[in-house]
Amino acid sequence: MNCFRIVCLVAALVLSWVAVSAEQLHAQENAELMDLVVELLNDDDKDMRAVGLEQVRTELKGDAATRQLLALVPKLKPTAQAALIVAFGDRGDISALPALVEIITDNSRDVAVKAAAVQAIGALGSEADLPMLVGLLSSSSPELKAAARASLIQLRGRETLRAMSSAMASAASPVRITLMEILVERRAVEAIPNLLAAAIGSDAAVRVAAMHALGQIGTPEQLPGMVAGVLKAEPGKEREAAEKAIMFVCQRIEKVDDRAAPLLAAIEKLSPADQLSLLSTLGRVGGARSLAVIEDKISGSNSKQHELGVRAICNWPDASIANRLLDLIKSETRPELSSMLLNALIRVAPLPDDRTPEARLELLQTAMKLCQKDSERNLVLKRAPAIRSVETLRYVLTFFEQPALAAQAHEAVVELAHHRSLREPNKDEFAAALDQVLAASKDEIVRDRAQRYKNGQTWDRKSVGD
Amino acid sequence: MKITMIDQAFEALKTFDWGADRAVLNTIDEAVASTYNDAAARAELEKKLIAALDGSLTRAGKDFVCRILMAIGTAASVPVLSKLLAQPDDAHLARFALERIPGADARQALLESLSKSKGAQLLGVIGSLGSRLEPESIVALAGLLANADENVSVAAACALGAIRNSEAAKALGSAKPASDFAKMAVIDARLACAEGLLANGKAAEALPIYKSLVGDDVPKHVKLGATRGILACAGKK
Repeated sequence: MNCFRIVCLVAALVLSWVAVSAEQLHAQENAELMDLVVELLNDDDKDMRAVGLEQVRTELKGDAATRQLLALVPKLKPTAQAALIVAFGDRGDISALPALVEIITDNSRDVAVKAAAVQAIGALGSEADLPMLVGLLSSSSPELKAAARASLIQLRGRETLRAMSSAMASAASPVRITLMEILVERRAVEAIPNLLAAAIGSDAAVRVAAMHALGQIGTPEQLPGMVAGVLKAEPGKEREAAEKAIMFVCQRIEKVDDRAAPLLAAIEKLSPADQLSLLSTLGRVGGARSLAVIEDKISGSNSKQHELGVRAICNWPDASIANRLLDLIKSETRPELSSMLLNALIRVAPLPDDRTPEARLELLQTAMKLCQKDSERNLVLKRAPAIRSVETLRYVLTFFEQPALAAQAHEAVVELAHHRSLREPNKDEFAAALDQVLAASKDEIVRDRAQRYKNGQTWDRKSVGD
Repeated sequence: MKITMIDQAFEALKTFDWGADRAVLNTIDEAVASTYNDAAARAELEKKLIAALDGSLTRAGKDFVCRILMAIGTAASVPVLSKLLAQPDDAHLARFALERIPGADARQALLESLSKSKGAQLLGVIGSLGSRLEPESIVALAGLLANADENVSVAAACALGAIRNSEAAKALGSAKPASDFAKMAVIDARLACAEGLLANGKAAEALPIYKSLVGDDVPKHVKLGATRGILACAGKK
């Protein structure tokens, strides 16, 4: 019996020695790996550093490795520090969070390092980190501001979205607007009630941002609140933007003829004066039911209501209204309204839909015939390139000899030539037209574009004005 | 009836050339599929193919037969393929089959042709030995690493890199290639061997190879690859 006990004891000792040895070996291997990673992270070559960072992200697992790596941070150069800190985010080890917060609050740290810590919090943090990140949105450092924004977009959890929405409701104007943008990017429907409240607030910039946000994530259920936002908006650009936000929401309704219904339902509950104010918005949404309401005002005897009706029909979103616009242009007695209707016709004529390019061009040519001023004719030429056909090229070429229209016609030719799929199959015709532009145009950009397209090169639209 | 159709197809094979209707050979293709799991019928088919290859065929006909032997060939096909291997214009057709026919006979045929081939034909034989992934070829391939012809030493290095075992790694480790081009091929092959060893759980053997390739005298891409190898070895010893 004693002998058996001794054997058991020896066996237990051997097993525990083996276990300890294996553990020591593992620790030694990890230490070797860590040494190599440290060496790589300190390397002057960014590609070598990248190999080390890859290990941090995917291989060196566990809290102990995280602690070792965190201790390493201050010993690295700032660029390497920032890269390592970002890699902490990718590791997904939340035990790094307190150290990251410490880095952010340490004013002696390099701003790029702090920004990296802010960015990493986006991947590791929770709603508990929200106040700090929201606070950083008003930082004087653009890097920290941008990092906080990126982090807030990434921060996980529906609770986070609710907390962010509450923070948005009470924040100062610029931060509030940034938070709205973030919430929209995250498609945070939780924020909708606060956005509706902001849309009728006293700060115009906040109202604009709120309506824009609602236009992105709102649904027809929010239209009554959004209508209030339109009424609150200052006439002019703010009003126009608010109306467009409603248009975006309505356009997300699949059936075209149903698009106006929720808006009409929301409008019906308003006072007659407010209903009139919203005619313009109805025009932007379009559809048979909107048209009936607008036509009622146009045909009425009240000149103010007639004007509002005309303005509304001029906002129509598609070319289905073209024939009605033509009729109204002919019958309209007030020149300013007639001009407005003509401009609307010029806008909708080239819009892409199920019409052929020839039909769209024919309508635009009809509009051209109705023009009485060169400004209107130039507008036609400006819209013409939206109809990408060789017939459009031939049409705009006919205006090259008219001094008041030639410059716009030159621009229309280069705009059409910009589209390789149109230019290449009609290479000879475009080459001849571009030669004419090069010979006649005095605009340097137009000439540059003409030359590039002739050479088969492209042109970067963004480079203008840079 | 079936035999007659095959005989007709083999008769058509004698004059078959590129550009002609290949449908006349379909019966032979079908026979390859239908003899699956029928060793006797397969052997009979192989015999007919060997006879055809030993007879008079156009290059297209030889190509057709070699591609079939590549799939179904055995040691029985090696003698006729060896004959073809000796002909510079047709050697690569023979290699299609010899690369893939299992067993020592096919390997031996390739090894024996090392001393008889030259130029592109030799490079092809070296490549085929590499593709067979057999340790038995290592000594012969290692002997070519210091060949005066740079292309031969590069091909030998690549073949050893394809075999990727300890012996190939040792042969490459002690190689003294003459040109820079050949040196780079040896380095690439050593990395390939290290990867092979690591993949087979031999991290302890892969690690010294990787460690020998991180010095300042090696190009950056090699250093990066070797460093990643070292990191991959860590903890897998």
